Amino acid sequence: MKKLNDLLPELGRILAHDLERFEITRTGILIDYARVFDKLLDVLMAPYPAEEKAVKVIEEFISSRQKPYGEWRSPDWLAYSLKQIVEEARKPKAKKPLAEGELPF
Amino acid sequence: MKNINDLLSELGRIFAYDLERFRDLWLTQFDAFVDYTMVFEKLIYIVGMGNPEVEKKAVGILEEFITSRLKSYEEWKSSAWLAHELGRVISEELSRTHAKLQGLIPQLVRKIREDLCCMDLLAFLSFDEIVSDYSRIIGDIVEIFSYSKTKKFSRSVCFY
Repeated sequence: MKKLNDLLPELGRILAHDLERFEITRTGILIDYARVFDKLLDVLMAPYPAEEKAVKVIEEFISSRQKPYGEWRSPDWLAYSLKQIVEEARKPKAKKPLAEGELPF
Repeated sequence: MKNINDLLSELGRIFAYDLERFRDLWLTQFDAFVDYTMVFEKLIYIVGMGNPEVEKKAVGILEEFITSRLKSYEEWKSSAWLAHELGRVISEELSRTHAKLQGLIPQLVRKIREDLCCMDLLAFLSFDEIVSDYSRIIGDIVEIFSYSKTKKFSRSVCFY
């Protein structure tokens, strides 16, 4: 499986391409990607397996860009998916119920 | 003169190039990634300020960064330099606005006193109105000095 550092250059190229094709509203695009990068930094701080899940989501984003325009994933979608991953990873895990006679300490 | 929007696509290309050249150096790539994330956030903040003078300074810094990349490697400006310089421009502007707001507070206090006189003498303004309006204004000022929210900043300075 690919690692995050293998995917970041391609993500950077897609950002550069999007900034190139939107001549007037580049700041708007930058806002979308800034959210993506912000969430990506959260992913890196989040517990396992957030990074693995993020790699899959980024791969989906990148590969969607090889498909027809109608199937492209937006940076908004990417930011939202990364946010879900972080929230999921940070959710406290349910404790195993105590066995009969087991003490809670 | 160019604006931030005009320079973003070139910045995007340099960002992609840096992430590529650090592909096998994970920590260096991560550092660059953090720097650029800060750069993008600061640029968005500067555009949000809506102050042509601040944007002009940011454009100068961006141009310096971009042209340095056309020179020999030793002269390249780093992404950390770019993030730091944009931060400096923002904090200079915020300190100016802080000072301006601080200078306006005596006027605000005078206005409160005048309004209280109107309430006493002419019953022109109701007590509730004065208290709720000014407590909101003072609450906003406290928030501005605590969080430095740009939009609230500029709106308050215009208002006073």
